[in-house]
Amino acid sequence: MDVCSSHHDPAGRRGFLVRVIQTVQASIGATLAFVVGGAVVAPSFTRRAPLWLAAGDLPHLVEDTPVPVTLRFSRLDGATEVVDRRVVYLVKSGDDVRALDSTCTHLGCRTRYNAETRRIECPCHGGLYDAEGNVIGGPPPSPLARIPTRIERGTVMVQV
Amino acid sequence: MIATILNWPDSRTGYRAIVRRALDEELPPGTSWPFTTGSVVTLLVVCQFITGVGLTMYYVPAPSLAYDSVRFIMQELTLGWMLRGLHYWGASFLVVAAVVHMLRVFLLGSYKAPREVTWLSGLLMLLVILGFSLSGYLLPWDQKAYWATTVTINVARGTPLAGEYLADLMRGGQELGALTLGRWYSAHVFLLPAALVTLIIAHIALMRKHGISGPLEPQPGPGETFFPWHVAKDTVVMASVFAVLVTLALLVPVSLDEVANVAGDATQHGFARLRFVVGEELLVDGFGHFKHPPRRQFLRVVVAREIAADVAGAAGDAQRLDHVVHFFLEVRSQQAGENLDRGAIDDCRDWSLSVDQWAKTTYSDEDRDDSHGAQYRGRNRPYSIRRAPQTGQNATASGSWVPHAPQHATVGPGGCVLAFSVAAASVPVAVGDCCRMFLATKSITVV
Repeated sequence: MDVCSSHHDPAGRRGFLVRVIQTVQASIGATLAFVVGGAVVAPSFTRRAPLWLAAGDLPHLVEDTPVPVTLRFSRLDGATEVVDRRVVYLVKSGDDVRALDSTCTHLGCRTRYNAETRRIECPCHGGLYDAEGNVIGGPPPSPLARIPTRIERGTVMVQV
Repeated sequence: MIATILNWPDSRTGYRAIVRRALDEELPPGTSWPFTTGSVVTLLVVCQFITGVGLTMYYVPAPSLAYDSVRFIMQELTLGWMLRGLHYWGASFLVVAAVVHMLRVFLLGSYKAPREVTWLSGLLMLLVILGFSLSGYLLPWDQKAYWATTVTINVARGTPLAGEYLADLMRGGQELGALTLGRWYSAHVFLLPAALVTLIIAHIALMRKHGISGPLEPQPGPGETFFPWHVAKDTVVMASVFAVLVTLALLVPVSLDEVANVAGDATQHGFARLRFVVGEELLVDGFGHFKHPPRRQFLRVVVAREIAADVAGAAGDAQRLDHVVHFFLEVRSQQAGENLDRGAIDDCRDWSLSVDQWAKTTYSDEDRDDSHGAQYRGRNRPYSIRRAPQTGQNATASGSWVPHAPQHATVGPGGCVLAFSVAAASVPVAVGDCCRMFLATKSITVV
């Protein structure tokens, strides 16, 4: 027996029922989707408050040479608190200091500074950056990210 | 536009014909509201699956992190409290819905030939659903979970011959710990869902093969199609149950006890909610040795007392009834921030938990030892948990719990009375707990 040829009720009543059923069941689904989707998606949009960390003393930095500094800070990782590490390059130019993120802009590998060639190299796909963080070779699409800095009583503060 | 998009997969798969075939089933005339119970079970299973997937993303099945991960879900995750609330209450709803569905099938004779296998698959599903409840109970890794599982495993330990091996298998060793949590988690999220999905497919396939049984007395006239006429009824009932579920999840926060502590005192942590102290009834002694009760008493003994409880003592104890009334009067007169007399709550719960007394006075064919019942009247109700005597075979280190010596409980009446008692048993305690949690949400301090 085909639903369309139901001999009990006119098509109007059937159509109305179908719409009511669809609406109610869609509401149940939407409620579940809201709760579960909200819980699943919400952490993706949570942003950690920025931290200012002491990265080094200004007199100890070498002029125009990237100095890798490992910053350690605790952060919440789901239900636990973990100590995170982040490597930044501090580059001194006179009284000014720039901080560069050590993450390659190609596919996110950790870069390293080669003192002999005076280049920052990515070990994954051969990306090359100069001491200013500008791309000089390889696949990286953009320079190394700049990180906000400020100097407080001779100490370089970096925002992470 | 949409029709054009949907035409392509239909031309390749023929899905419209499949859907039409599934929905156009003609039902026997007179098929009505009682036949909506299966849809409610389906809805709740789907809810449990969806909310369970959400919870799994944040839950960590390790003793060092399980409790914190649940606390994170409850307190820090956006909508996490609601997510767990739906899963928590949905689990209870699912058990009730499955039992109601089973009763419907039983009362309307839907289990009879040729639907015996459908009935058996449903029974297996009920066991799987109970397995979900059991395995899920441990996962929060709080005191209640820990001690409830301890008791559960001790119940299994009472199995003749294989009890010790079964308990070791459930624990993953000699102690309840990381290995226990791991295997119960695995069962909860992998084994049991796989079993349930398989059984649901088989159940529905069998149902379609033999058709719906219809009302007890065949009615004349043409039948209706499943869609939309019966689906409309299904949808009304499903929406009602879902609305109650969401309301409960919104208004009654799910509790999280203290973190599991082996050295902790089980009696202090709401353990009474776990009603089946069946280990006692199975006559397991302090060393886990099984003592077989008289065969004629066995099944009745298993189901008896704690489960069939609570409906209880009020009828025979006017003073407690008075305390209950007093309790609700107090609740009504309280304002946010004011203190509430803990004694009233205690008395209310005393009343609602006077299981033993009721079982003893109503169904026992022997005089009972009042020293056990007296514990229910104490302020520190150990409920159904009893301290082992410091002498004799049940003696253990102070603070630990072992099932106490059997009292040869027997239950006289038949299944109907028992079924009624089981259904009614949860009401008073549930009401009491709901009141407490509701008060908690209203910031009334319970001192």
